[in-house]
Amino acid sequence: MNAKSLVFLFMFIGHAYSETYNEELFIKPLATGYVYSFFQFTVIREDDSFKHSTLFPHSLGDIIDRFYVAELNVDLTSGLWRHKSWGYPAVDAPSGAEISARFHNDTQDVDKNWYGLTNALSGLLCTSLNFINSANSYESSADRVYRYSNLPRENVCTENLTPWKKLLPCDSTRGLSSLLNSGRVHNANYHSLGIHFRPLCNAGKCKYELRQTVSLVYDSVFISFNNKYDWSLRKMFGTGLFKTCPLADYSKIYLDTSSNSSVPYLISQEPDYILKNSIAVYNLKGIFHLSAIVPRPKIVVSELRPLLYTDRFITGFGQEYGGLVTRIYNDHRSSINATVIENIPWFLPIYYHTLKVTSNGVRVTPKALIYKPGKGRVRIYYLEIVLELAPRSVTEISVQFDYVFLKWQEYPPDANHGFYIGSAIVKATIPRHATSLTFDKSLIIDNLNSTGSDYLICLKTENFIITLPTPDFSMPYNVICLACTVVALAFGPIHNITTKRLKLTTAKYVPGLASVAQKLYVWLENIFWSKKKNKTGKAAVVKVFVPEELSYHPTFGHVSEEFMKDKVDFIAS
Amino acid sequence: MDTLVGDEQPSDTVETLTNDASSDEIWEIIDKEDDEDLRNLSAAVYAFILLVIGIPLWWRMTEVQRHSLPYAQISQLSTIDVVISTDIFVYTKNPYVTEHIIEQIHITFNSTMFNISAQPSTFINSDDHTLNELEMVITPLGSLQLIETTNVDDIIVGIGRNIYFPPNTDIKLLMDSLKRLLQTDALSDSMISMLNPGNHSDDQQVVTERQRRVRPSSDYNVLLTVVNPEPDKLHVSWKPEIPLNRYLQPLLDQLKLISNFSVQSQWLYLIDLVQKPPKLNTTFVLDKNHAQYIITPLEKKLGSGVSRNPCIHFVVYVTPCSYIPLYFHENNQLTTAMMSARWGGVQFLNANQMSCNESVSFIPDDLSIMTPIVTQFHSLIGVPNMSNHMSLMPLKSSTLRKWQLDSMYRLKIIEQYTNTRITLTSLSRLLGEISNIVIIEEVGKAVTESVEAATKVLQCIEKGQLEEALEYSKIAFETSEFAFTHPSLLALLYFPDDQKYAVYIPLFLPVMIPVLMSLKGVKNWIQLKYKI
Repeated sequence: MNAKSLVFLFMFIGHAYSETYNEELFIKPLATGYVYSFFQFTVIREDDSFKHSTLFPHSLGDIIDRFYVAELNVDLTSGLWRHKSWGYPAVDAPSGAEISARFHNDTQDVDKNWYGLTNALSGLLCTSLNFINSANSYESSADRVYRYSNLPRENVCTENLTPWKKLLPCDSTRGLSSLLNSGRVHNANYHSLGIHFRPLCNAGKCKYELRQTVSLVYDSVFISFNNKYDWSLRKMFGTGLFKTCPLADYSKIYLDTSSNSSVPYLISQEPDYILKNSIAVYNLKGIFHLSAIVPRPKIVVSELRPLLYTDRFITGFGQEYGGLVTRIYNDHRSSINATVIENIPWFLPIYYHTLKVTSNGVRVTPKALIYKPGKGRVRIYYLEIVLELAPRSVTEISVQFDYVFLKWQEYPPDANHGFYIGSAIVKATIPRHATSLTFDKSLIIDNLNSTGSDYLICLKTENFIITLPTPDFSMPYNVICLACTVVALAFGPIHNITTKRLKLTTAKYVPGLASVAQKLYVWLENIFWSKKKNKTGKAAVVKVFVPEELSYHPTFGHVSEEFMKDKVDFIAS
Repeated sequence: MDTLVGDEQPSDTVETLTNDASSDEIWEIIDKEDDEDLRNLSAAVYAFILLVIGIPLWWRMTEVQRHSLPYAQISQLSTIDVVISTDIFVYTKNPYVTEHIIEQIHITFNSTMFNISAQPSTFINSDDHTLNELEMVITPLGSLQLIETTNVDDIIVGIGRNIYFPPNTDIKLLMDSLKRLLQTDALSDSMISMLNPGNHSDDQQVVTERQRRVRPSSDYNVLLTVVNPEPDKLHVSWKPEIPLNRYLQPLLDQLKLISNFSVQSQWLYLIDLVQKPPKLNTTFVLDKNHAQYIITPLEKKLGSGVSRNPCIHFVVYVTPCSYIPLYFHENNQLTTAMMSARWGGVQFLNANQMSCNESVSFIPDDLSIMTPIVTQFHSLIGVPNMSNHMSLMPLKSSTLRKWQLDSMYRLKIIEQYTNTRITLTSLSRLLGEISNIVIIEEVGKAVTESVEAATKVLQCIEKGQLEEALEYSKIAFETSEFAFTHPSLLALLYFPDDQKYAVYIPLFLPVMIPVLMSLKGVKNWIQLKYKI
């Protein structure tokens, strides 16, 4: 018994530290006067069963457990990251919602779990991930258990931030997450919420890492109010830091001062230490404030362009001959291997024979190419191209597509707004010093220290909107009415021809308008009088004409000769 | 212009009229050659195709798809009475006393839903054995054994299915105990209250017990949440999964025939008490009626996960250092735990002041946390509580006594069967009232399966086969819920009939008028042809 309790105690202590939590904030003033801040909240646990948790969010753990998720990336972004002037972000995410997941290798029905996962996450994060279906997600060419989808139309707002913050152990009451006030977050030029879950295995021993990230880009002119380029925590987030999260092993702020060489600026706080000569590190303990005074006005530093960036646009005019062009710029002095993945929705059928890859205007053949044709309403057009980008070159991938008529129920609300086409993905390995933040390891501090020659970056291109031919939506009813009328119009004469026969007969008495009116008058009078005189009425007064006594008038029909005479007399006079 | 036209045309007509008058004979000849038969026949064929084939076909094609349901069997369910068969074995030293007890049992349970077959036990002399030895006697599932023994002073209920009573016990007292053990009141109450909301048993305890129970389901989540509002001041080192596995899991394993329970735990931090508890002497006290001030702010953060199953919440709230010790106040008694009906329980975990001030982590006692949780769990799932009425043999673990488990089975069978019956009846009534509801084959099959299972429940329970009955009642319950909540039922609910007519009238009206008008001519033709 004693030994048993000892074992228990041992397990106890062993387990007590199985989950760790860290908070980090990375601030980088960007060359064009913007300030980029990247929050990362990391929970690492050693156990892969999520039934019991101390710091890991239970609701997310339940989802991960239930749908056999091995790896998960969700990004909710609003705004466009401008690679050309801002460099690389820590997490590259296209505008809208993006989700990718890898399931456990032994998962039987991957699709079922994928749709279950997206539905559960849409409930958890208040997003429209439930609109993900086979027509807007793809499985990787090599990986059976990998699924990817993006919803470019998704609007990211406070309703996503609030549930996202609930997943944090300290919620928004303490620590760095208290800086995330929805009013300020959604004022940013670019903001992106992320949930990244992955296993980190080393020599058969795995740890499970959950990173919750926020990327924010503020325009320092806009937030400083005095038309200068000063920025501070309070100006950006509306509040300072008061208490650190007691659950975090440490909370740190990193300030990238590498741009100090071109635009020197003053920082209000002396850093605790400086890493790699350029990154100021602050260990947070209590009340903290950080501000920077940037004296000189903004200068456009065009030479700060990143090594590799992309451009994407559509060509063509009207609703014919649409074309899709993706340009990849390689400013590096040596060649770079890159993989371009295009996922084009089924309503934009591409013509494979028009696929053209040129490098500086010269046509080149890609190193590898995987093409999975799409299928209406079922599958997207998947195009994966592996290229070797020549040094200092512009590579252009162009393909032509068609505009498709949709069924009337397939148009989204506000169909004239246009259809969003999600971004393409460019994966390339570039030298490590050219990247911003890397993620080989869990924490920013470890990644800042990490060494290695190359790093795989993943660029997301712009989304764009196209206008498909949009019908008038009252059309179905109009078509029904019109078709019915045509059928009815055709049926009438056919029925008449087959069942009736025109024949000439001697003129018989045909009641004309006058006699009908007269009859009606008498009938009405009868009714009127009958109430008083009990049906004696004036019925007897009606004079009935024999057909011979009548003559014909074109408008009145058969009328009495007297009437005819009166009329003729009247006309004559 | 008008006058000119008016002048000219009459003269034309007069001319034609005179022409016509002169050629009467020609027309008579033409009339005779007329293909009247053919024309009328074709009019009749038009009418036949449109009215006899077209309209019924259209009606059939635009009809709402409805798979046939066993309406007769559903309505039959409510006419059959539930009869639960149970054996009671009686052992006394005196055969006359035995006979008398058996007779009394038959009289007592005559008007209940139980069909008791009481019989004398073929049991050896009980005085030779101690109580522990008597406990070894195995009584079959669902039955009870009354044993007269001198080893006890009062009626005592064992851990198995045995009831011990001393000689010369008042037979009325014995019958009362039997009634309680078989839960005749609770069973009929749960059935009555479900069938006729508002009606309930006269026994207040039975009613409160029923109201506490979580809603019937075949799967439950059990979520233990530990809330530490001040993680910076107080470090609690406790792993909930170890005590949960040790104390709750055996109980859940025992209940696995009834439903599946998935046990989870989580920690939450920095959630403050909304209401400041007042201080009485040396303790802080929160009125039990103010428990919602704790539960409501917690509820937003608890999160029952992704499953649709009902979740039983247990919250262990670590008292903030400034409010130690904190208790609930109820009927002049101080308790640390409190139960919220159909939801779960909350308890305060008072740390010692020592660990508040120093950097020593607080290690709570597993048993003192788990005891209220297990008790609350019993009430929430409907384990009968008899301790107020009779003495029970103490348990050595957290598992249930066998007769308690039998009672649970009976209760669940009745609950699930009644639920199925209500669901099926309201489904069939709903379908009768709203003609736009689609019934696809899947739903139709589920309903049929449910009805069949419900009928089997009644058959099994009448034979006294509790486990089979439980299994069938689970199937019946699940399939009826599946059918009732199937999304396809709502598919056409918002497509009213007038829209159907609005779409088709532009076609039918112009086509039908000539066809219907021609019917008169056809009728005349038929009369002319066949009658004269």
